[in-house]
Amino acid sequence: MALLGRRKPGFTTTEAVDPRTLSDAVNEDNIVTPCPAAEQAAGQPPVEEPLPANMAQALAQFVRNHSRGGYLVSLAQLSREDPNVPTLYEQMTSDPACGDIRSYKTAKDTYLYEEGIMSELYLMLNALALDGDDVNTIVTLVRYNSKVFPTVTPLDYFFRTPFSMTQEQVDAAVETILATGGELADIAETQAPSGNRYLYSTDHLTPVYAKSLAEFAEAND
Amino acid sequence: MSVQNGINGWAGTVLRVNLTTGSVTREDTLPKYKPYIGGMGIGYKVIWDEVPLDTEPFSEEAKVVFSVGPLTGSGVPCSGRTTITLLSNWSRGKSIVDAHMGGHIAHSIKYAGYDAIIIEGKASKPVYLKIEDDKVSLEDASHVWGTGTFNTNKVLSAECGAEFDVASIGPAGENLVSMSCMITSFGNSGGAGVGGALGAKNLKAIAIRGTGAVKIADPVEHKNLCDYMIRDLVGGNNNHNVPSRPQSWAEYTSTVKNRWQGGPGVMWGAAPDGAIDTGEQPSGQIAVAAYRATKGVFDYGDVVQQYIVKSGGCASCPVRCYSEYNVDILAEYDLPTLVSNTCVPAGSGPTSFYLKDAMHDFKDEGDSKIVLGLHGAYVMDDLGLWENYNNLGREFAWCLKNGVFEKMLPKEEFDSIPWHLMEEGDPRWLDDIMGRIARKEGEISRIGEGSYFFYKAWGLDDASKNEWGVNMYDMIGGNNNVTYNGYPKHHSSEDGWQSGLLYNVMYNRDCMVHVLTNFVRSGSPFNEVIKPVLESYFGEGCVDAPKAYTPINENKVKLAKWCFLQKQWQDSATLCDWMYPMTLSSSPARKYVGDIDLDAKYMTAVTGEEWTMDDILFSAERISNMLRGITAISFKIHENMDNLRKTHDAVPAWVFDKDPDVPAFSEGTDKMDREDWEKSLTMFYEAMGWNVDTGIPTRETLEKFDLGDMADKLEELGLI
Ligand code: SF4
Repeated sequence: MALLGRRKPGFTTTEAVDPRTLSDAVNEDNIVTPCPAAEQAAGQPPVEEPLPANMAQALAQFVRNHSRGGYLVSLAQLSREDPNVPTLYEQMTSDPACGDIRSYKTAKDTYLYEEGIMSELYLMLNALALDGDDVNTIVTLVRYNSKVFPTVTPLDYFFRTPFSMTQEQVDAAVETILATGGELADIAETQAPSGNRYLYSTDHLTPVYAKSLAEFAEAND
Repeated sequence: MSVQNGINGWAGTVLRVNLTTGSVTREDTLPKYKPYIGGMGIGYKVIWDEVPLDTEPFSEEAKVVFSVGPLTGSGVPCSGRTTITLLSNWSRGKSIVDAHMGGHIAHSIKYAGYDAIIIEGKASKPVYLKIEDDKVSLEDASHVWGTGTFNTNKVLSAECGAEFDVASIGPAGENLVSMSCMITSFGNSGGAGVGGALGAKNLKAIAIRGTGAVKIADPVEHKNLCDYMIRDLVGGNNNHNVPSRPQSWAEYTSTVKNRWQGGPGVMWGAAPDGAIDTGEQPSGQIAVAAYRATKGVFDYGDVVQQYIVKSGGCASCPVRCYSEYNVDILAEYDLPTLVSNTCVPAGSGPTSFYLKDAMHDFKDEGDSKIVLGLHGAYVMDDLGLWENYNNLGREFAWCLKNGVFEKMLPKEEFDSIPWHLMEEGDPRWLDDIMGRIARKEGEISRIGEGSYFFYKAWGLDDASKNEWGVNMYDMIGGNNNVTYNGYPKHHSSEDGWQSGLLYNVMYNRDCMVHVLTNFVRSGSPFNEVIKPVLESYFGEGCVDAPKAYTPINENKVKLAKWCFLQKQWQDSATLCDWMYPMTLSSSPARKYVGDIDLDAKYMTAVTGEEWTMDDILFSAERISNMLRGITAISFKIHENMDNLRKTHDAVPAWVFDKDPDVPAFSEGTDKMDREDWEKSLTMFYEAMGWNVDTGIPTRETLEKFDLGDMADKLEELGLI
């Protein structure tokens, strides 16, 4: 099935390379300082990974591999790719060997992950990023930062992984948020003396306080 | 052969070099200097015992003390700092100051067998001091005199051998410019006017190689402590304990710009064997600690990643706060492309020499600060010019913006300056303008005398004496003077409420104390981490949330005193003040609680004697009282002032008058309140055992620290 051989963007893919196309620098004969760790590893017996006993456990292993790389597994996306996944998921939840696999539910999807690998915050960030709703991602995190730290949130926060939004995406989402009012009316903008833009929630910060925190966030000596 | 003498921790020997006579003598470090620990403590003891405080700082009679401490070179992380103690030529009162130099030279001094090197006298011609363990000689330096620090360090390294560490002064020091420093062969600087102090002695450089070691009483415990510190406590630079990029293991992501900038997708783009992704850097993993700081991104933003070669740093440091770059754009101007530096000299310092509108991007949006900042750092370092935590730059910028140079410079001089280079945002402008300051060329070079004397010369310290109607100390906006003595704030009330301001006014230069800013700007949330952790150490109300301050209380004063003493301890040990004390931890499992007793554990493991933090802080308090007593005497001698509270510790108006629409102690300002500040001073003096009216240590306090002779001198001068 597609499941075990599948690679998400960002994961390594294996390509067959014709050694004749390599430059001299990387031909084996020219490697004069072999890596000690590689030499040591070459002398060791191969690590035996136990094969999954069934496909539900294979799914669990797939989730673990992703979690260890910092990724959540989208149940909806995987189910679209492989119709067996919903059944396997049901089997997995009742298999004690898969007890470390947890799910994180959002309004849009259910995300699978291995327990104890990712922080609560990262689960939230990752799920928001995968949901792909830029407005909701920004609003949720601006409120979270205003409440928990308390602090204002710089717009470039959303350029970082795992969001990796573009300037255009952020600008469009912020414009929508600030124009929407209603449920989003608590989200406001302030600027640091540098002109950099920050968002905050008026439920937690006053405009005067927010402005001063933007100045604080940038001090650079 | 190294002159190790079998003592644990200390090397055991203080080296004395008299440049006038060429004599080289040695004395035992212990027991004489043990109550002063090492480093700064030794420096203060030497100056107090041997240099009358009316001595001209840049003279044959003055002395300069290079010193390290019992932890230097022991392998304790972040112990590669050298303290240089001297008399100030540039701040009001001409009192005692220290420069703090990183790199590798501290280790070399220690491995050569010395805890301190006392430089006295004046050579009859330019020399450099060559030390190879017990072989000490003065060598001719006429071939490097007049050249920059990069050339000097290169030539002397070639002459002495690649295993020598070299630190030299540049033209600024040779020309007795007050704003001068020395630069090591790894590019680290020690400022505070040390360049001029050595220039006055015709000492161009020190070249040193040590082949010995530091004897450690309990190597197993020492190793365990080092591993524990890097694994469980250390975060990024300044021990900022929360990454600024989301990482899968991290419970928080910093929203303030902090000094843990490495993370997934953050690259050392110009690494020699191809770009390196600094990746995830979980707390608990020793091997990835050095990727965390990636300080260049803090200094310049993401656009700099393409130029980062690697993170450099001091010997024994796993944190590496010193990004090194290859900025190919500079080649277009025939300027060196391999550049490095950190903090003010590499960013806001050099760019202050341009009008804002004159700066332009070179290749990418926002890269003007990179190109101008890093070339400026190169020029300043090569000239051995010190920026006084950028008072130099701020003053230049203000004069430039307000047309002051046009009025104050003779026409011929003004016309001789290639202003078009500045107007074009050309990096070569810095070579010209900084060169004039370093060579004391023309009236414009008065800016190199330092804020205090520069303001006096141009009447900028009195609104009635200049046509711009300003007092540079008091004006709001763009001015950072924290006292009327000629130096700026260094993480003061803007980061650390009354506590930060209290220790900012204690020294005779910018305080260089980072204890508060380290946790305030750590990236941790205030209510969930910073407040509970700090209150567990110092009690309720010891910390305020950023920009939401409260009136002074006893626990804030307790914290202020602790921070103040920590600094004296660190510069004596020697330990890096950017990292210690380990107030917070990066470890979620520890709930971010640091270990503020770690320093004592290191001292016990290294020396084999039982040290507690109380022992350490007692010695630090002795040195703090020496600082205060010496300052009081200097102010009496040079300024005929006998009240430090009203003079040395007076705080400029802007600190109280900023944010005019926001009252002090409300959300939205870090301004101070005058009445509350007076109360803070009184409480702090009481905590230190000083006279609350004058801020001068009482006899009782001085005698508690065996400083009765200092009390006698203060009494003789009518100060106590
Ligand atoms: S943190 Fe920076 S200054 Fe401190 S020891 Fe390390 S490299 Fe040196």
